[in-house]
Amino acid sequence: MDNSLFPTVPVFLDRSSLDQSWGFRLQGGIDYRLPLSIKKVSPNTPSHNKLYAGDGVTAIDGQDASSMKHEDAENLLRNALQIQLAVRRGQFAAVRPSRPPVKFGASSQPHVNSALQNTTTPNNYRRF
Amino acid sequence: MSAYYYQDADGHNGVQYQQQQYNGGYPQQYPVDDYMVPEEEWEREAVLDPAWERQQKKTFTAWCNSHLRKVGTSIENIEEDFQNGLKLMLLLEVISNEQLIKPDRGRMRFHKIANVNKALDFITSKGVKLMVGAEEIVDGNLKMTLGMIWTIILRFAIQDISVEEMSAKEGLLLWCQRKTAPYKNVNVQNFHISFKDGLAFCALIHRHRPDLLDYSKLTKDDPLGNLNLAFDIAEKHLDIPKMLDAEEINNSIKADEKVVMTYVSSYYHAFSTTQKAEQAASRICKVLSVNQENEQMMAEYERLASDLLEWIRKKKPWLENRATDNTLHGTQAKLGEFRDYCRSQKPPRLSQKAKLETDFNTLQTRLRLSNRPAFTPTEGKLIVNIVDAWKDLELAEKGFEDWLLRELRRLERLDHLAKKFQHKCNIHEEWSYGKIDLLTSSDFKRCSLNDLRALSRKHLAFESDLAAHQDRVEQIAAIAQELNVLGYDQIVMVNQRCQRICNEWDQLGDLTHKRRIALTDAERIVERIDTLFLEYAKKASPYVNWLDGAREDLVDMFFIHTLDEIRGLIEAHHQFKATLGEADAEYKNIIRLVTEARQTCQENGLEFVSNPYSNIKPEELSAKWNDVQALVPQRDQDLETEFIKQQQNERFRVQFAQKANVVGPWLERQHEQLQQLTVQVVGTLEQHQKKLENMEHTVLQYRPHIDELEKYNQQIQECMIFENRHTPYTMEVIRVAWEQLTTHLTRQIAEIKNQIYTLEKKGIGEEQMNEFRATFAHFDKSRTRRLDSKEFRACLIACGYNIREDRQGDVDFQRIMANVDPTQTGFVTFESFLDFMTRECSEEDNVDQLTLAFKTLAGDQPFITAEALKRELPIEQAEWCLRRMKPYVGPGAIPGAYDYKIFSATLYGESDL
Repeated sequence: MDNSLFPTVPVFLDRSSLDQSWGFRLQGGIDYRLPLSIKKVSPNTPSHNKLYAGDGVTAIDGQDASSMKHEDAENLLRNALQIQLAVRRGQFAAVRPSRPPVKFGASSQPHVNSALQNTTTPNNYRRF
Repeated sequence: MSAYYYQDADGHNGVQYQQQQYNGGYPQQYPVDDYMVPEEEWEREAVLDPAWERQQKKTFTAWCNSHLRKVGTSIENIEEDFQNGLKLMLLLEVISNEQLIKPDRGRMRFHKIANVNKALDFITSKGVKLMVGAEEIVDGNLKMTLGMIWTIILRFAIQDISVEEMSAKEGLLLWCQRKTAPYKNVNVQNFHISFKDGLAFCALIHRHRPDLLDYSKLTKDDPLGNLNLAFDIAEKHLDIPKMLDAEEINNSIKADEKVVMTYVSSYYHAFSTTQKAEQAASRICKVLSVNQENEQMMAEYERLASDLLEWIRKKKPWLENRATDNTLHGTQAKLGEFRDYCRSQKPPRLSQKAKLETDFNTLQTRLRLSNRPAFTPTEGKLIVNIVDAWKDLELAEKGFEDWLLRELRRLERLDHLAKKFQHKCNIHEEWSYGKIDLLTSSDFKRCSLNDLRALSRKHLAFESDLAAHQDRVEQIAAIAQELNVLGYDQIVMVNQRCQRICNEWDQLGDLTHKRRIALTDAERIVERIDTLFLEYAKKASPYVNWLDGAREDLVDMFFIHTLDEIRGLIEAHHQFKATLGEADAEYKNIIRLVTEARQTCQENGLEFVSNPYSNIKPEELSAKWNDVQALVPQRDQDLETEFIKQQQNERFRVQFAQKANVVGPWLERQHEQLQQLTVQVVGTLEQHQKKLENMEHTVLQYRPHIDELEKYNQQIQECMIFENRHTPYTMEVIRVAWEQLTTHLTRQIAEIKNQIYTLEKKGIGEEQMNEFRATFAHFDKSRTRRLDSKEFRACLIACGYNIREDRQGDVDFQRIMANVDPTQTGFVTFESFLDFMTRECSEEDNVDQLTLAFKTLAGDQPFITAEALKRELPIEQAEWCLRRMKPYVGPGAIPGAYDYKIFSATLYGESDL
């Protein structure tokens, strides 16, 4: 993945009490084998206009987030009144189709599934 | 200079000189009367510079007093003291050494005027025209008075100094220049600046009276010191009063030249008087010096004569001495000394003698010319005495040289003979060195035949060499004899050496003969031994070769894989054993040769040398033979063991082969069947799955056969059997085929199941599924069942994604790649492609949807109870949820409440913060 396309942006968040929600949904973690990222942001919260859905989180309070468990990241965020994040803006933003897909011979041979043609089968035993 | 003399004729009332033809220049030649330079500037100067006036007043006063003191009077104030004209007249009398008209008595003004006029008239009578009026002097006009005094000074103190027809001023200047010429740091060009640093005054004093000051210690840097020094010395020793003020001379940019001239003129007069006295003295000195020179020449003659005679007296005994130290070196040194005498000692003495004669003649001539009595040298130092002594010296010299050369020749001859003797002895001794040792050596007792023959030939050569040296020994004896006759001083040493050489010579002859006999005997015996050695060598080498081969065969490792091979080996071994009797006989024969050679050596006292033809030691031979004999029964036993082992191996091979030949083809058939199932999906996915599962069952049933084959293979491996020509299958091949069959089967089943699941879950119809497959297959150009990023990008565009060929397109594509390939493998599988495509279709399936679902179940409560879960969900799912859900802690919580919101988020790896 070419990370240079997504510049790292520092984001500073703070809130008045631990009861106040940050206002974003965190996704991923090394235990889910997904990068930590911002799933969505609620309006009128400390995160509003600071974080955006699709931001990839690379650091939390100076700690590298690339090998962080979801729970560890979650705890760091839950127990802080102020937090310094580093995010790659828009790294995981969704892209949707803009026009109907082209059809590829859908009905020509419905019963012969060429996509299943198994060429990965090792066949070196045939030598004898 | 021109600054002083310019044309300005108007309004003057000062001193005017009689001729005013000047226009600023300073003519080279003046008539005697014209020494006075026009001084129109007199007044102007005075007006312009009172400093000069002050200087002039001081200097002129001092000058006047230096003359007036001779008549016991002086002036204090120059413009007042000359007012009545009396002291003026007195001054003129003193300096002119003439009598003036008697002055008028009376103190009236007209008396004064009359007296002053008398003085002025006197000055005028000396050829000077004065333009000053007597009234002005009487009135005490300073400027006029100073002008008058300057006229007097110029006329009486300076005009006399005329050098080479120059003007008075030029004359004084020239005098100064000549006198100061030797002084490098003095350059007199004028009378105002050139004297400023005082060095010119000091130089003038030093030039005439060097005793008065140390000029070398003076520097330009101390003008005041220099000026004061000169003024002090002039006052003290030259009787010149201080007329100048050192500081004024030094400080004024240009000193007034009139005052400097006045003062310098005093120096001139002071020195000119001393000069006269000096001239007289020098005349006297001249006369005396003639006498002194003559006396010196006489003394010099006496000294030279004594010196020469003394030298001759000392040298003569040395030249008459005929004692020799008998050495060439000593005599050569003496000759060298003599040559040095001839070359560098005698010639100066010869010129000394000539000088004596010349000096004597010169002296007599001088005495005669200056009317003085002739010179008679003291007794024995007459010219004739010297000439006689010189003749004696040369006579002794001649005899000495002759004797020296004779002596030198004799010593050279002796030296030559002695050297020749030493040289010949050295060569001979060098030749004979070690010869006796060689002749007495018993080297031939441990020689091979060839070496012995070589020694014999070498000895023959030596014999002729010895004969050739007879001559030299005789020559040595003859030279020794001649040295005896010539009385060589180290003859004892020569005789001793000669005797030693002769004795040694006799001994050499004797020893040579003895060695000849010994060598002949030895040669005969060694020939016999050599024959034995040769015989041994001929036999031993092939025998050892055979032994090595036999031994190698006997311990040869078995690389045998068949029974036939072992049978062949046993047969060969039996044949080998049959030849052992012959080998034993040959062995004994070889050993006998060695024993015989050894005995011959012992009997003749020769050293038993090693066999030159063979490097095989008899001990080695014996050891090898014994080794071979011991190995034979060992080999018998090994062959027997190997025979039994081969029989067993063959049984194992057959056992494995029979089984493998069944299992192998079965596996091949299964693979073919699976291949067919993989290539084509016939009927529904479920039917296909059933077929695969049936096949899996069959395959697993076959497992025991593989295990049995493994058991046989283990036996084979333990016996180190590597080849089996009874079957084309090896265990590795069977094993790989088996593992590939089972894993592939399992994977196929899993893939089919996955596809069935996806169809169900995403609610995609069979038709759409086929479309995805077709699409994916279309872009999977490499048929690897996965797309690289390039292929995937093309695929997405085909599927309707607007991914442009620019930076924005790159960014969009990277986002999608991050979704479908989160682990960054760089590839997209059909499953993740399918997942991505269908996820886009069912966007609602996310945390919010799940949360919403729970919320419905919970009756719009923010939490859910165990009862609700168990009531609404299958028991299995409900319990699964309960195991993972956390208690609800938010507002309105009741006991046993669970937080479904966090649970939902966690399922998707998300959390609301």
